[in-house]
Amino acid sequence: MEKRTLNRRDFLRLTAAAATGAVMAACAPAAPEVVEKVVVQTVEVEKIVEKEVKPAGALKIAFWTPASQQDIWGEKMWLMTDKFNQAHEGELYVDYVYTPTTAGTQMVEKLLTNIAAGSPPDAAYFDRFIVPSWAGEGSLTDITELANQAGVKEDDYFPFAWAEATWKGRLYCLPFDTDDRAIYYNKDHLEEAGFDSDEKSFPTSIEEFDAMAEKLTIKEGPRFKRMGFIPWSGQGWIFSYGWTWDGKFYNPDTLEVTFNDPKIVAACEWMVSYADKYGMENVESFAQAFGGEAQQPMDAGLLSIEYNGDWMIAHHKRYKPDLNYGVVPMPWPEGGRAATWAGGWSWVIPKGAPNMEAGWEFISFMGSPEEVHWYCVETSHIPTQTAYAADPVYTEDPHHKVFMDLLPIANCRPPLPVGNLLWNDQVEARDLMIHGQKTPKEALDDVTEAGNEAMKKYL
Amino acid sequence: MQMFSLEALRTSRMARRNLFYGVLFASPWLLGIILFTAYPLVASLYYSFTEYTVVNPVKKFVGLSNYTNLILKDDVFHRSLYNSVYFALFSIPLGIIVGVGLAMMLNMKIKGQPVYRTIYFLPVLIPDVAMAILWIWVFNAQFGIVNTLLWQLFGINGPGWLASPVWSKPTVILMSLWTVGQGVVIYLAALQDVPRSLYDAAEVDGANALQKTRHVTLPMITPVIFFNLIMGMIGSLQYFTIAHVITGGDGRPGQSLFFYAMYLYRNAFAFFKMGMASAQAWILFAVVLIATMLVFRTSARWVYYGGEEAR
Repeated sequence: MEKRTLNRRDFLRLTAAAATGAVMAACAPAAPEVVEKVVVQTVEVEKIVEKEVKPAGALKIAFWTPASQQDIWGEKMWLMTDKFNQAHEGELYVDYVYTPTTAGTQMVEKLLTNIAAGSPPDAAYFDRFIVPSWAGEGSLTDITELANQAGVKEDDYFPFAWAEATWKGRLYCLPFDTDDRAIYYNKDHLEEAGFDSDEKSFPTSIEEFDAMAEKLTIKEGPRFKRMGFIPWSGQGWIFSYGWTWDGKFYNPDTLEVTFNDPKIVAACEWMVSYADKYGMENVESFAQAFGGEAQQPMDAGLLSIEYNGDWMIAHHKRYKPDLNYGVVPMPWPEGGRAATWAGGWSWVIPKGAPNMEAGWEFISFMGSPEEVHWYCVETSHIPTQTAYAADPVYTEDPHHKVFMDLLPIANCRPPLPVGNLLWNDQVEARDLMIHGQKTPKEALDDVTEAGNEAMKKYL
Repeated sequence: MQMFSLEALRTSRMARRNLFYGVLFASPWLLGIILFTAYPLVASLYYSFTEYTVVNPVKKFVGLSNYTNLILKDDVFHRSLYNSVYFALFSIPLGIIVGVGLAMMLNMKIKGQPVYRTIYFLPVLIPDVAMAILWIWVFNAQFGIVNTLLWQLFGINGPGWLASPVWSKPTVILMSLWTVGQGVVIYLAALQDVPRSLYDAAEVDGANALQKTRHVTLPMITPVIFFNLIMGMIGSLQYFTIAHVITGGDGRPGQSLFFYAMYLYRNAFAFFKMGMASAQAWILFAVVLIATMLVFRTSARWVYYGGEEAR
């Protein structure tokens, strides 16, 4: 009897068939549940809906934000998104996607790369001061008409918020919240060191402040157990101290960048003096123990005084409710002043978003005064709509009252088209200065030069 | 089977058919390499002479200014190049020395030799990102295991490691030694190839272990060392992933971990200076090319390919 063995040719044929079958099976797209035709403005869009992700028949709005749901702000934002989804059940569904910012900048590189590639999300949470920079590059959709139709008016908002939201007279974002900054200090630590912990007794001169910080610092041998103050922690940027020293970062008439203003150089020299006094190496090693959430340095008892934003009130409330702290404006040198600066975020529709109208539906909800008000109360921020910012709830908390009192004199970052570049450069400059790689004057000269060079094409 | 030749192409139909089928079967690969390698290469060369943000599709021709700005005026470029060269200069020789040493030890006939070889190779299998996060915690200046042990066992107050601008690069170089197993495996193979007769002859001449290593083992494995040197140079000048994860992309502290590829990435995808990033890529290509050619040029002096007649 002849043995029925597989000869080589048949074996190869069988293997090829099996491999092809496997590849075809893997490549076959998931069976489409519902095919939806949606008319968005004048563009017809066909959407294939994934049943397990969202309700059948609903149009998916892709929403990217650097607010992680693990943090307070992301959690509240997600609740707002959920509220929108429930209100629009069956028609619209917002897919909340967390996309972190690039270190040392305030922008999301994944978002901007996708805009450049032509496949952006429909809505995004965008830091407001960089809106002019990116609108100038053509990355954001002009929402002036949509805003006009919805009745959004310039007068509703703080002037600085509107200035940051526009580029060449057109609106590119819906301002959302704002904030400002001051000094948080641990009253228990002050009392232990023999200081009067009341807000009214807190030093207003920078020399007394430095002395207090030194007394609050505890060392164990060569290591730090606790530090009084670290200028570059929290919100201690060059902007923060530059304004306290009464420096000017740009000339609003000529639009010249003036980061090397002598007063700003002086402020940075003060900041660097902390690195020299305490030994940068030791401070950096100590600061490696700092983290977010419950490991935030003030909550962990590692730092007695910190320059930070008003949103930390909500943070401390959640992670260390028994923290006995006070809030005062940043002390100033002679010739300086009590200063603060305001930031804040906004809602944008990226250029080339596939569902612009649905995206607008979503961001006009998120940017509506009632929602902004709810968010700001929950996260201790401040609404950009002046009518709501005047609500007494924001001055109820005595800590937050300090921030609200400072708001009328708050500075804001230069609303120039090189705003994003200036921010990135000052982050880098601060890093180089405190590590002694450049003197404050050198570093600030470089930032000024780079900024003015980049401004040339806009002037 | 008929061999392909140019004359045959002109004359023979069968040769032409052979050529046609050959190209047809190679076409998927040809298409891939043209679309995904050749085109991007040429395009990037073109972009390097333009100002191009990608967000704005306009490519403004600026000639050599990207190159001159980088090489002459940009001190971040110089710092990033210095960082990458520093890393390459220290990590490659260390890697070779440690690799060869380990391979020689792992070549000894002891019990459990395969187990030890596996253990030394395992770190190579760990993904870069996971490894970076692991090392961040090991080298944490306050809580990390290294400083804790240094303090408790030796009473030494450990340095800032990744937080110190002075120690950060040495730390990263130490981290790269953890994955030396990849080279060890190749050295092991080379060590097996050293002819036993040479060792016997050396013993007859009265050589001790150190002399045998210096005069027999090392010269015989120089081809493999040469290979690892070239590969190491190409790889370490492009060092990116781990430093990017550790520093979040900006090379902190004080830009001491800001490697060349990180600056390139940031220019391209964070600042959208695609033209400048492309110029950087081609400068890196030139640097690696020159370095490789230099090593090749000097190789005749120290690399011994067994089987060649002695010159």
